[in-house]
Amino acid sequence: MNVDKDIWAGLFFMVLAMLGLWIGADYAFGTPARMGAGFLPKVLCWALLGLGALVTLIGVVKRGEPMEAWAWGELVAILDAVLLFAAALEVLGLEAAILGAVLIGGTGAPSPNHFERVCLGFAAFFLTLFLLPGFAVKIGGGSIQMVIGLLAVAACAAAILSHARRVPFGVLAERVLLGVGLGIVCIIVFVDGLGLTMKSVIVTDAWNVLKDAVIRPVIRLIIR
Amino acid sequence: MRVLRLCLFAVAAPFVVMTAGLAVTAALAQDYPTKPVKIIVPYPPAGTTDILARLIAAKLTVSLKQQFIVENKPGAGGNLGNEVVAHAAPDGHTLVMSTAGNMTINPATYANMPVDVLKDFAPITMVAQVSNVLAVHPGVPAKNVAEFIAWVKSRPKQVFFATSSPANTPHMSGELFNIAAGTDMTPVHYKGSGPALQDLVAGQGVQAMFDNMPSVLPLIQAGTLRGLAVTAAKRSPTMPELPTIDESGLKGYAVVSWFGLFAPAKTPAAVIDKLHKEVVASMSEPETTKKLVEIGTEPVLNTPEEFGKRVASEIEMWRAVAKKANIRIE
Amino acid sequence: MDVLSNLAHGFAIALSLQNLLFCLLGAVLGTLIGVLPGIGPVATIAMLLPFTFTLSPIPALIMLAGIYYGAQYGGSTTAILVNMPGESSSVVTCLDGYQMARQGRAGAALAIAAIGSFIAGCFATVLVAVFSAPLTSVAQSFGAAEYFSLMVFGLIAAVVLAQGSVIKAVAMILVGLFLGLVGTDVNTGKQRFTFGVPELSDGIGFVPIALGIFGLAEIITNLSKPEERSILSQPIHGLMPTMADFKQAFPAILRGTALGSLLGVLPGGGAVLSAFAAYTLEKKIAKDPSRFGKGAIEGVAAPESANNAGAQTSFIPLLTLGIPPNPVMALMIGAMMIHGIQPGPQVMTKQPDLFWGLVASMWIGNLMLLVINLPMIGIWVRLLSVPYRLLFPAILLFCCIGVYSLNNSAFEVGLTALFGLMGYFFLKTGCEGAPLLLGFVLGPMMEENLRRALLLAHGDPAVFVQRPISLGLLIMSALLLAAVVLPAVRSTREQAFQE
Repeated sequence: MNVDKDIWAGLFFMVLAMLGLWIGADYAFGTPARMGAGFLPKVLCWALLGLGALVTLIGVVKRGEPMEAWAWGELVAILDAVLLFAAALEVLGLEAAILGAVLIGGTGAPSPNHFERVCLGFAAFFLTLFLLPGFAVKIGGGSIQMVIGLLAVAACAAAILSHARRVPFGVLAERVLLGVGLGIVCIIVFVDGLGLTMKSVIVTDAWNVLKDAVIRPVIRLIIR
Repeated sequence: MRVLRLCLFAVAAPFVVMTAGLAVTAALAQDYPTKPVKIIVPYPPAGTTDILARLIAAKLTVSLKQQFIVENKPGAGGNLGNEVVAHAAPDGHTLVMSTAGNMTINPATYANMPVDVLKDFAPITMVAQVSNVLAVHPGVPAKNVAEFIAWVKSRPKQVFFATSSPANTPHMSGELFNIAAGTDMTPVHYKGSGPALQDLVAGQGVQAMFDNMPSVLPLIQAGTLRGLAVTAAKRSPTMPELPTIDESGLKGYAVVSWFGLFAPAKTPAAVIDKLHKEVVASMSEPETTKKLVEIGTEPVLNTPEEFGKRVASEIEMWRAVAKKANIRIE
Repeated sequence: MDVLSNLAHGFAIALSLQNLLFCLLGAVLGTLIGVLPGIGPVATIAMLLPFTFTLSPIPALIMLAGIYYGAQYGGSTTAILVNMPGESSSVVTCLDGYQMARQGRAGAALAIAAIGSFIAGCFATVLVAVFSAPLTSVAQSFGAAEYFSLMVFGLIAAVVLAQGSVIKAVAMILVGLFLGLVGTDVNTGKQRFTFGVPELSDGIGFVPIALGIFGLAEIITNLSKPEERSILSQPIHGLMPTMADFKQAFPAILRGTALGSLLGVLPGGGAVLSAFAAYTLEKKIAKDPSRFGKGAIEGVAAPESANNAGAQTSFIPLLTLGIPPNPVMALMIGAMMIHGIQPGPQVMTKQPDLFWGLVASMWIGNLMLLVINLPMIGIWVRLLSVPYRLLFPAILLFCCIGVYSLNNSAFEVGLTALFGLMGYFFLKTGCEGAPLLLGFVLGPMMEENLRRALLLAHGDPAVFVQRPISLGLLIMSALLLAAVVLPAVRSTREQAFQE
């Protein structure tokens, strides 16, 4: 990638401006006395488009420093962790979300040490339980959920420790696998009636399908 | 992977049994509530809706022996919080503290409503109402509503009224006033009532404002603003000296901002009844009533049926106003 | 002399054991929530409001006020230590504070922030006590046109925040303005750029943007440098600022205090502007502006003092008019009314105990904050020497929980990740985040006031130059613009000649 960083920046500005003009095309421009919702967006986007073009031009003419290489592994680990936290929080509960974020985010560490990471998971978990009890309750749990969460942590810890002995971490596929495993633990643990508030119909539907097709049979199997 | 799978089942088994037990007990309505109840407030913290919800949550936590938790879900003029509750499980563990604004004005003005208020909610009870007040800058010569109308008419297109947001009861009070009195005041929208009052008091362009009584009350008492009338059909117990707009000549004019508790539609009637009984009992305590009146809020309670009818009729009224004043929120 | 006896009366009230305790409680709570990003004073005060019903009004209000200014204190801690601005006012503290921390001078930065805040707090308390009335009339002379011109001035000042290319800084301000457009248009209720997502209907929150662009991007960068075992690039030297530090910082504290006190009185965003304005001023009058952004102590001292002074003087409109200038003040009014006190001009005469007690408690609270915060510095600084691989998951969690607890919205957490990506891209392309954030904060206010001013003037743009204060601000903006652009143009020309 030997393209000047100014060119990248300029292109970004231009793309953003064009996106704004395109989406905002039907916003009313209005009159000076009664400006419409589209007045500022349009003025702004045209200005941004011009500046973006200028920045790109400078980049082409000046041939300054090229953009540094991106640290994709670290980027994916951190953003993954935040996204997982967002996805897991309202569906699986705070404990699962915290664990997931710490474990996934931890794979971005320069020299991953699994024992440390699991300890961190525990620490984060206890911190939430004891320092923010109000918060934990707000997310929709009670003492039962706390016990469950604790056991879930233990399970994950054991799983990871046994797992980590053989294969090194850091590969994206494994990260995903870990996330899925974590998800399954928590879904099974948080079956019906344990303070689930589904975010939207889509999630609820997905949940119902999963429940009827997978979890109910499994439960029946175990009870039998 | 085998270790992982083993761990999963080892952990899961005891809880499956436990939750199966819980699911059975949850089915019985007289045991309601079986777990913490969330009261969603579709507005940011502070504000009358939030304060009322927290007051009720504190009382119900004691009387129903379960945690009642207030959660703020602001957004889209109160539509976001409503949407969350409309799609929640109809078991009475998720409720919403809504207002006349998002329950009756939004359906009449929003082009895209995420919920159908009449179909998606089961009303529990109205909790309180707040009258709006027509207040003017002291520099305005009018001393009553009739003089004010004459003054506005003598200055066509020159009078501006401040609002705390488009399409809420204060704004719609002004639009209804324009229609009823034949005036042409222009609304100037602000983000919340604080900055609007600031400009009204300082005389920066706006000359009048319709606003909820609690926020203008201190300013009228201090004389920094002049109150002309209340928008409700009856005089307010907090400021009985202010006449109503109805008695000042605009017959039939009546607007209040009310606050009420709703559950998702299809919530069992037994649960609604239980909640209704408890809320009414807690809001009827004289101590609570006195405090609310002091800040300009009147406790008003009704039955689920009355409440439902009221919502339906107000939506119709605002549809007519929005059509005449050409108000449409996209 | 009347003021003196009144103040003495106030101190007598504020120094009672009960009031001292509640003041301490408020200050400590405020510091805590200030350190946690996301959990702001508004949410905390709202949660504590029912609890204060059982208290008598004076300790209740003293405690709530303590939370508010305590949060202003605490906000700088995360900004300096880990480059995470928890609120808009600490964005500028990040610029130099975090660089100081990396150079092992976190102690000096934290201490100067605390001392600057204390000095500013003392000064602003006196202002509140003595000059409430004239300052109120200053605030009242600001209408929509004046606010618009003030915002224009602020946006031009944002260019000064940048260290690199002026053109890119301007573009970043525009990006910030663009992000500020997302949400419901105040004037028409129209949803702009929301893609039908209800969570976006009230606009993008400040915290997701700030934590994404500053916090997450910084974590990713730190992780990608394997040689870095901790945030520190140099060993820690000294917990306290040196004499030389003091000499540099002291005038900056005074200037920041003066600027912050004035801007804080303006309800429509003055307090937000104060920290930015103070930083800009310091950078403009400094002999060597290139030190800024690389750990200049004035770059921490001035905005922190301005910020705290502004927080205190923003009580003025509340106390004299009974109008809340921001959501925290709206809650304070709610608290007053629940206790049967009508806020407004009559508070001073009808409730002298409350008014002067509150004023005195502000000063005591500031002293307490200093006493609490100075010994904490040692602990905070030691935190930096924790290996980064252990520290960063904690920072990450802090970010996530903080953003979520803001609006109970998982969507905003996801949004933070998006801005993290954007912030990383900006870092790699040499674009700076601070101008973007300022554009984001000021943009909506600018648009609102522009449209309101023109609506009230029946569409005549002359209103901006006919009103003297507005004209003055616009002239100042033009001068500042010239001061920023000319050197940049000159240096480009010199470069061109050299080639």
